[in-house]
Amino acid sequence: MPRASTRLTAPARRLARLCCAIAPLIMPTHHAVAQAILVAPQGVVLSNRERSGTVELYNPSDRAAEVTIHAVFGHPVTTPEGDLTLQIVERPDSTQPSAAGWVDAFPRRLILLPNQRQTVRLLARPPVGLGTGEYWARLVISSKDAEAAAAPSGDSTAVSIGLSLEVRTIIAVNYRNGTQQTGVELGAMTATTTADSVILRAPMQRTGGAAWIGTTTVKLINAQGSVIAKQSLQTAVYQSISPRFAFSRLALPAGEYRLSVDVSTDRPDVIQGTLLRSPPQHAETSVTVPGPQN
Amino acid sequence: MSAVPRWLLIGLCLLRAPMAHGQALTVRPLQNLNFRFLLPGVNTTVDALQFTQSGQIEIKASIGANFEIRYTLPTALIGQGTTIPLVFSTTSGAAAPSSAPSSATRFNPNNATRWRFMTTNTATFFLGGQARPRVGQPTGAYTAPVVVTITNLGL
Repeated sequence: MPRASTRLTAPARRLARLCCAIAPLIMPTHHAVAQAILVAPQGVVLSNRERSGTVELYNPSDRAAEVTIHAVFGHPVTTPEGDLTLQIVERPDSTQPSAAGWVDAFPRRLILLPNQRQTVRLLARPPVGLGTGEYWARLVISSKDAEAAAAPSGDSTAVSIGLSLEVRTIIAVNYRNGTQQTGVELGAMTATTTADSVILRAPMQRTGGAAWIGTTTVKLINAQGSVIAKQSLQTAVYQSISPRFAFSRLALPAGEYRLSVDVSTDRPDVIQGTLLRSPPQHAETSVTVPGPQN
Repeated sequence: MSAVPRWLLIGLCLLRAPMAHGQALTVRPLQNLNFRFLLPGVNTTVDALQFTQSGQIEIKASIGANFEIRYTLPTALIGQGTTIPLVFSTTSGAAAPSSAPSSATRFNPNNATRWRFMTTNTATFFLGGQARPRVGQPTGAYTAPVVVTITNLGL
């Protein structure tokens, strides 16, 4: 075989030399598929008559999961822009209705093997003399891969990279001391337009002693009375919120539109025996959608 | 009351606790963010929609549920007494109502994002990022934790 046929060109030789030089320094990254977790239900209601409850955990993956559970105080609020977010208060003072200090989970730390189910039992141990009302906590269920090494073991001639993943699922725990009622009041709504959207802000204030859990349905209605668009939002009002609803206006002809808001305690996803009912509420406002030149 | 009867009472309370019912939330990490091969001194970027390399999490919940998804992201990988900086930009996150990245919308994973299950009960969240190994980066193992917090905002 003629030698010339296997000889590398000068640029190829330079490339080969570069590859040889950097080969020990090339850093493979560590890759692993993590564990999974199922949590049910997403809200637990305890009371002075039923101080214990359960949460089911299930690991549907083929890797063991290390799970830890702790309680914090928090509830949904809205940002100034109208986005819902969970506000967690690390050290709630005595004026806040926190149950985080006296709702315990058993066990608080466990290993969930692949396809294993585990019932976590909750127990409320409220302080003596607790006033009538509803008290709130959030259960933080943290799950991470129990099989992952703390650090990828290494080949000392390379660099291995491992990103570990921890999933925290936060569920609601409400403790009712005494018979509770709830309700929600719709405040003065505002509707505006932006370049591409119709925006509604719907302030809601809880009435009664317990959080209002329900559904908000918003409809965009044209001058002929036809529903152009509709949105539903599972809603929780612990104190007050002012959520934002946005509808695209790109396909809307210019003109007057109505925005109707209905709130009701219909929540098929919630354990019905724990759902506090209140009368439905309705409110409307209007908005003018300008033509394309505006 | 002595400790033993008190704990017995607690045990009895726990035993008669009703079993949980109601909608479930399933969080299934599909794959970790994977930078594959890094060269010292060369920044390596994985886009959120690079299907084989981005970090992916699948969430299943009921239609109508609305969730907050918050990533707690590391600023660096740590190991060998040093670090490899990690950067997550304002478009390093993406979310889709299925596992197909073609229908995804971008978000900033440095801030919380919200997802409403409107037409499907499944959503996939994609995470990209950039690793910035420096010239002369020591060899060995580097690790960093990524935390994803998922909250049902309707309860």
